[in-house]
Amino acid sequence: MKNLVFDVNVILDLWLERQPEDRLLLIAQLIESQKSGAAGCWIASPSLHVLEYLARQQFKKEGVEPARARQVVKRLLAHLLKNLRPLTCFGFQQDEALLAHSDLEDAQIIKAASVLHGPVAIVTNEKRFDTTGTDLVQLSPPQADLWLQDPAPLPAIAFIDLQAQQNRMRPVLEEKVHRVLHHGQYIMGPEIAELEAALAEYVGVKHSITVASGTDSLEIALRALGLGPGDEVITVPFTWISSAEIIGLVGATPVFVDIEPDSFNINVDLIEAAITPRTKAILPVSLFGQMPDYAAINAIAARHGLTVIEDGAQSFGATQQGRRSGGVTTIASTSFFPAKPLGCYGDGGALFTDDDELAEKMRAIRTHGGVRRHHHPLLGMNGRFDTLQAAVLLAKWPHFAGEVEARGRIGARYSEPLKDCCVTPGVLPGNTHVYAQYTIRVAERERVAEALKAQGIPTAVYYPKCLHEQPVFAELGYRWGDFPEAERASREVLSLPMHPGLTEREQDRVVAAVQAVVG
Amino acid sequence: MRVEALYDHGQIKFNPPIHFATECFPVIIQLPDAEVLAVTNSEAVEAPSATASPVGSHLLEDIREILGPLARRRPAVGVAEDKATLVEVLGEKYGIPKSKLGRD
Repeated sequence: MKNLVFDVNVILDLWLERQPEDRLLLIAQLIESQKSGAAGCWIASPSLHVLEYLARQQFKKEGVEPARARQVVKRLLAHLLKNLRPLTCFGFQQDEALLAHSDLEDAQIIKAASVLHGPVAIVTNEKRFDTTGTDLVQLSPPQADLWLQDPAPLPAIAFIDLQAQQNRMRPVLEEKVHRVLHHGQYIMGPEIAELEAALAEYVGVKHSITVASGTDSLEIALRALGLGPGDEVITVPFTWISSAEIIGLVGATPVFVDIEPDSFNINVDLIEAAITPRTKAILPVSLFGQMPDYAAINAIAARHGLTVIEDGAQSFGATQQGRRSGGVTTIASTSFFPAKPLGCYGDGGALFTDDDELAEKMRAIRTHGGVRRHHHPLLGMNGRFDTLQAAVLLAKWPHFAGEVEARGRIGARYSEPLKDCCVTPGVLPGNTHVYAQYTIRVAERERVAEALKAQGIPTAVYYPKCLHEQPVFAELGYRWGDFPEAERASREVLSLPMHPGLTEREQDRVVAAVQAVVG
Repeated sequence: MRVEALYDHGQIKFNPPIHFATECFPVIIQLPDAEVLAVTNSEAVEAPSATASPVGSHLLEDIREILGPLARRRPAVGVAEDKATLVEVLGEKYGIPKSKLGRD
């Protein structure tokens, strides 16, 4: 997305009506492009006091009583900050700003603008900024209007655009991260409890336990259930390795069950055939952002006295019959890996349960098996979620529901035109899909991927190899052909660019490119 | 107090200029009948327009509402003048005499 950083003189023109009406409307329109989503609109923090001084001085010259002038200008600034995002000029940028050829205020504006991702224009009445060494442009309001409308080719499409998301939430992100830097409780700070409460309420469970990674969350769940050598856990062979890796890590044995071709999730009809006297749990994966049929899975588990653990690493935000991923099994886990629907800026994860005893155990295992300081009745791990990462998620949290809605809309918009030329992801009745990945199936996958790459469209393959093909699981004795749907999926799947900020124009480019090569 | 004034494009200008004790107070003005084309009642003025407002107009309206009587057209000002005003303001704030402002 393009960004506009407004110079003081343009805002003063608007406030003090120093231009004709049509120009004032144009400036107002540019500012409102933030709300319409046409641009990210900013005011650099070093500009704020200048605006205050100059507006008050104008009113003073007009004979306005100082207290009244101050009140009016404060209200104007408050209104401005409701419509423009404040852009920070950091302490570490001051040295370079001081050494710039232009005056300090102008240099600070340039430094502040330079942290933004994507094209940035300074909207100003005078090209006086020294933008040497940056990609910033300086435009008058009419030029900025044309610039926003310019349909010039956009850069390559992002597979997942975390930078645009960061722009959208930057002021809150800075606030939340700064709060941690200030209070200094980097381990289990107050952000952890705040986030856990928000997550539990959202999922609809009694307990949410944040942990250091999605992988850790699964291992903690299995340890809390007491699983170990001699036990079997049913899962799928078509997923990220963590799902089966942690079964082996606790000493248990992964038992694979093939997937359904449409949803890529576990084939519920095949589960019971895999149950043995040693089976203790079923660990289905809600792959790519949609849940398998948990009503059926829970019923099977109940018949055989098994525990169900949802691996919801990719499905946080998805629902099934109105219940959210994380809230339909005895234990559920998710991942906050950056590319996930709710991703932090590092590794992270969470566990969910309604079971008080399991929650207590999982909390203890997360912290070296301790239930209070220097008292460790269990073997645990160093599995705590970082306070700074919790702060990042708290900054993202107000946007999350909207992003989930956008993901569903974008996924459906992909499927409509693509369903005629390739296999699109099926959505089970009663499910909503968050499309952590939008994954199609195509023959000649490499040819399609190359054709898209040539047009600046990235793709990815999740997953090119099934888990039973991995050397680490060779001792399980599985052979090629044991899981035909998983094996076929591993040869045909291709994930397309997918993120909540994907524009219709970008999506149309992707669709056209896919249709051109396979249509 | 009765004074002469000139109505000029939405503004009342007093001759000679007057300094008021407060910024906002009611006045009664006698207008020459020949200059009045029509009187629109306030309800009609405030009635929402049937046509769509141009983009940006709501934001502009918000600003004018905040400004109240201070909302008025002013002459264009260049960046250099704004900078000079800023120097002037900072001079006032920090007690620097005008004679010394702008000197390196």
